[in-house]
Amino acid sequence: MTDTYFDTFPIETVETVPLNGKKEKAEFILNDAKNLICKDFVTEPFGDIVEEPFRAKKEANDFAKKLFNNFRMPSTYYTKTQKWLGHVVAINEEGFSAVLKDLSGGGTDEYGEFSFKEITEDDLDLISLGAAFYMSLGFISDKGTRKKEEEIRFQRLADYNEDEIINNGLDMTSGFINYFK
Amino acid sequence: MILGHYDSPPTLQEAEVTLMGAGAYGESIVCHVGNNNWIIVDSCVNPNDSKVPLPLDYLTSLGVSPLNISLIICTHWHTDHIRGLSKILEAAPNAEFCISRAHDQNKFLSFVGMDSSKLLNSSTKEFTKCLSILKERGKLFIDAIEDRKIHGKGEELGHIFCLSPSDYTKQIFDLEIADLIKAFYHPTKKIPYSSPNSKSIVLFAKLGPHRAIFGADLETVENEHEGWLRVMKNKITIDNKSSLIKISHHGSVTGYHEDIWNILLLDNAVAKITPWKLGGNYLPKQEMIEKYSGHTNQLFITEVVESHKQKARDRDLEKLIKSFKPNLQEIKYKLGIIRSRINMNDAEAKWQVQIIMGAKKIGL
Repeated sequence: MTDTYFDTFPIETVETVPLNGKKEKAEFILNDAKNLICKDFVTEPFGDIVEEPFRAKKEANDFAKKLFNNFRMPSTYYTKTQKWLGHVVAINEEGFSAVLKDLSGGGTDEYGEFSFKEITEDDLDLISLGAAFYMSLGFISDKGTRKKEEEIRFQRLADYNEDEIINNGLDMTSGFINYFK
Repeated sequence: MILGHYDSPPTLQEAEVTLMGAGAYGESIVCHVGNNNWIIVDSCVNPNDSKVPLPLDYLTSLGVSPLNISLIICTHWHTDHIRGLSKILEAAPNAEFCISRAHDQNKFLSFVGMDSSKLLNSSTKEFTKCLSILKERGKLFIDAIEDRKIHGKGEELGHIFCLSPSDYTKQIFDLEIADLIKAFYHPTKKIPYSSPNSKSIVLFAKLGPHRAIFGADLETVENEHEGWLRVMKNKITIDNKSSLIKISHHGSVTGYHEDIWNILLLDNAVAKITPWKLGGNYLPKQEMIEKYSGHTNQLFITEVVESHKQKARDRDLEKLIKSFKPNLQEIKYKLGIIRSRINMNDAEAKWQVQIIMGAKKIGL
């Protein structure tokens, strides 16, 4: 359990955490676990320990305490990251350009140009006009050494077929269709 | 508040056409049509504080209640025209809501539903919110089509008409929706900007004896049954030349047609542009500024486009971004306002133009 804590959660949840003392460590774990649970990100990532999503605050607290009691520092974690949600606005022979929404600080958007070389081979097929991707830049602390890291990941969701999407649209707006007819 | 102090509203007989430009964060026209009746065309926000859409903020600066907004028009659903629109509608319980939809309403609503159910923050989400508000209020929307009057009764001074989209455009829209569904049905895809400029609602305002055209993003296309060619060929609603225009599509080449200036506008009409910039692409180009300057010496722009730089952040992150993505540019927010007022009881009156914040008169 202790070794898998950070494997189980998305790595991006572990950021900007000055784990200097026991108190800070406790607050971090409690808050992080509560946040994850409250945001409903946790469904069943802990196998035999968690079979259903947490709903009550008390359950969340009890779970966070369990985590704390068995917690050990991971060997690798982000110390500072900047995250964006981008979408492709133009494609040319060498790469693509995108508008990026700042997920870390909010406020104004950004514009960037990307080379296909920056994208992993698995994601190349996903690049198309309008396609969404996440980008993060950060510092990784690995056994005391700070390294820079960049990650660009295109969104992958189960493919729907056209009929399903149209039906989803119809479901979504059936109230409107009946009302505005 | 935008203006930071209590500004004076127009008199009951004074028309006002105020163009607000917030760069990529949108544009909007706030229009007083007389007797404290206000119309809002499209919406824009300050991305650093988007709680109150800028048109509402502007009206607050004037001391005007949202209860006096009688019509809200969504010319088309591109993000630079729709951000914050649902908040305006929410705050304006007396307002009618006007959109341009395809002939096939069910297909249109299905398309909107499909796109707004995506994870991405698409502009159709904003549109869907507006439809929900109307439904809660038990109201219907006004469907825009050329020559439809959408505001003004009897002896009122201000009357608003649609000059586009054409009947033909709405039929084509049915087919295009099917294509858009095919191309962008995937939940991880955002619909790009290329569609639906031809569906933009162009407005014709009769303000007492004065006339004004609000060009939205309508473009000139080859087919004479749509776009500006259709507007100029149809002319059923247009009874007089206009003395003011909101130039369409950020002053682009396709937003221009010489006959707009020859047929639809008076000499030396007040002309207003909102610029647009994304990466190295920007509008209007210098050649178009020169073209417009040849038609009028009353050309105004809400913002002078400048090159964008890296966004200010924590210093370590700034360095990191510079090393990985040196070409990353902030899409800057800069607000400019061009306000024009005219007495609707005086046929000889001229527009009084005021430039506020980042706005400029071209040629000065």
